[in-house]
Amino acid sequence: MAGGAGGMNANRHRERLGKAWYKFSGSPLSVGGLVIVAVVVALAVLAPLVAPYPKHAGAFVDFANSSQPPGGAHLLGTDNVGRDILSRIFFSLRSALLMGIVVLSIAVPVGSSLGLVAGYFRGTLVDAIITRITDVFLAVPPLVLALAIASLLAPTLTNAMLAISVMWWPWYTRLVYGMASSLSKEYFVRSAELTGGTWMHITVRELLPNCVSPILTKMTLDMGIVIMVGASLGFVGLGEQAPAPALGNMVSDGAKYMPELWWMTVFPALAIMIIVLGFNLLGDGVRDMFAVEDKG
Amino acid sequence: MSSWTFILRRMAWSVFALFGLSLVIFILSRVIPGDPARMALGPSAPEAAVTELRRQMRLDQPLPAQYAGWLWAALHGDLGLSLVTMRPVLTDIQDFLPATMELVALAALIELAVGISLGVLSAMYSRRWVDNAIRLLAYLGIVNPAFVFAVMFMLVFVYLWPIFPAVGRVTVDGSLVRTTGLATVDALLRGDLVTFWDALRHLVLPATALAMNGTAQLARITRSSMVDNLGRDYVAMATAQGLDRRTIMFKYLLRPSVIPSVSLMGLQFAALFGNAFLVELIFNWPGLSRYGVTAMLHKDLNAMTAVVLTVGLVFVLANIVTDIVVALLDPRIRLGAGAET
Repeated sequence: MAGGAGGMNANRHRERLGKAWYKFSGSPLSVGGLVIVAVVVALAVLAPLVAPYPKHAGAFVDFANSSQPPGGAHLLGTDNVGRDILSRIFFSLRSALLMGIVVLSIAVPVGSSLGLVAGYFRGTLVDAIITRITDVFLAVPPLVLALAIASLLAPTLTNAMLAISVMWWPWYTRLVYGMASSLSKEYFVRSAELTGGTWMHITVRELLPNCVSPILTKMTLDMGIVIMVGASLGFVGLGEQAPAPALGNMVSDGAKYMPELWWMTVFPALAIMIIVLGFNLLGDGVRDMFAVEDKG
Repeated sequence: MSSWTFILRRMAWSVFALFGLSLVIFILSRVIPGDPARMALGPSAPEAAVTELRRQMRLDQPLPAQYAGWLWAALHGDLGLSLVTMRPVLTDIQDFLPATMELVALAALIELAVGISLGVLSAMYSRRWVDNAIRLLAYLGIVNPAFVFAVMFMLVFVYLWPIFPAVGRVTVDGSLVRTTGLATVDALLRGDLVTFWDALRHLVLPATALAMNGTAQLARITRSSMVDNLGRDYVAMATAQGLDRRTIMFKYLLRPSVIPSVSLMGLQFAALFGNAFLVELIFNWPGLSRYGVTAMLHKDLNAMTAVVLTVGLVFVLANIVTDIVVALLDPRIRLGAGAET
C-alpha cells in the first residue's frame, strides 16, 4: 500500500511537470527566452574554454593590436589597449550572473519572510514596524539608493552586490505582504490555527506554498533587472574595478572613445540587452505557465 | 473613508518615511570607514586643519547628537557645505534641480503622450501588423537600460547624423537668465524663441533616451487594459446600440483604460529620476543627478544626503499627485463605492 501511494505521488508530480512544460513550450517566445538564458549561463560557466582569448579578461595589454574594428581574428574587435571584446564579454557574464544570483539569494528570503510575517500578523505592531521600514526603503528610486549605498563602500563586486541586495528586498516584502494578508483570512489558515498550528508552521507550511508562483515569476524577471542595475553601478564606476571585465564598465569605458571605436560600447550594450531580453521572455513564460495551472 | 483622508494619511506616512530615510542615510554615511574631513582636505593638510574641520562637521560628537544637529540645521534650510563645490548644498540644489526637473518633466510627457497613444493604436489594430510592430518595439524598449539608449542616441543622432547637439543645455551660455531655472520656460517667458528652440534641441535627446523604458511599459499596459475593457458588458451594449468602434474606444474606453497607466506613472517617476543619474552623465547635463554622482564618488556626505532626500521628496510628491489624478479619473475611487468588500 505504501509503495503504491508513493508511486502515485511520483506519477502525479511527473504529470504536473509534463503539463507545465507543455504549456510553457507552446509559446515560442518563452522557449526563446529559455534558450537565451541557457546560452548565457553556458557561456559564463565555460568562458575560459570558449573564449578565443581568455587571457584578455585580466590585466593584459597588446598595443600592437589595439583598436581593431570587428572582424578577422577578433570577431567583435579590440579595445583601446588591445583586449578582445568578445572574450571580455564572455567573462563579464560571470560576474553579471553571479550578481543576480547572490542578490536574489539574499533579497528573496529576507524580503519574503518579512512579508509573510507582516502579512500574517496584519494589524499588529509587528506588521506596522515591518511595513514602515519597507516604506522607507521604497521612498527613494531604487537605483538612487543603490548608488548611495554603493558609494559609501569601497568599489568592489561584493559591495555592489550588498548595495543592490539592501535595496531589493523591500519589493518582495511588498509582494508577499499583499498575498499573505489576504490568504490569512482563508478558512484553511483558521483551521490550522484552531488545530494548534504555531505562527511559524502557518507562515511556512500554509501561506508560503501559495505565494510561490508570483515569487518565482518575479525572481526570473528580476534576474534581468538586477543585472541591469549592476551594469548601471558599473557604468558609474561603483562596482568591479578594472581590469576585471564587467558589462557596465565596458560601456562606460567605450563611451569615451565614441564614435571612432564604436564597437567598444555597442557590443557590451547589446550583450546587456540580450541578457535582459532572455530573462524577460523567460519570466513571461513562467508567469503564463503558472497562470494556466491556477485555472486548471 | 473618503479618498481625501486616505491621501492625507499617505502624506503623513510619506513625511515619516522621509525622516526614516534621512536617518538611514545619515547612519550609513557616518559608519563608513575613512575620515570624511581628511578626505575633504587631502592627505597633505595639517592635522590641526583636519581636527578643526571635524569639529565643524560635528564628527567628534556621539551619533545621536550629530543627527540631531544635522536635522535641526536641515529644518532651518541649512543642509551643510558641499565639500566638492565649497558652496552651501542648498544653493547647489537650487542650481541643479531645475535642470533635472526639466529633463524628467519632458521625459514624463513623452512617456504619457507617446506611450498611451501607442497603446491605444495597438489595441485598436489588435493582432494586426501595427499591433505586432508596436509590441515588438515596446519589448525592446523595456529590456534596454536607459543608459544604453543614451549611448546609442549619441552615436546615431550626434555623430552619424548630426542633428542634435551633444552636450549641455544651451549653446550660448550667457542667455540663461534665471526666472524659474528651467531653460525652456525662462526663454518662453522672455519671448526669446531662439534660446527656447536651442534649449529644446538640447533637451530632446536625453529626455527621449530617458523616456524609452517608460513609454514601452505604458504602451503595454494601456494596450492590455484596453483589450481587457473591450470585453466588458457596456462595450457590447454600445456596439449593439450601433456606436462605431472609434467612438466607443475614445469616448468610453479611454478613461478607464488609462487609469492603470497613470498609476504606473508614480513608480515611473522614481525610475526616471534613477535613470536620469546615468543619462545626465552621458550627456553632461548639469542636473541634480550628475551633482549627486559626483558627490557620491567624492564621498561628499552633505551633498549626498541632501540629493537622496531631495529625490525622495520629489518622488513622494509625485506619488501624491498621481494618487490625486487617479482619484479624479476614477469616479469609483472618488465616491468610495465598493471600497472595502
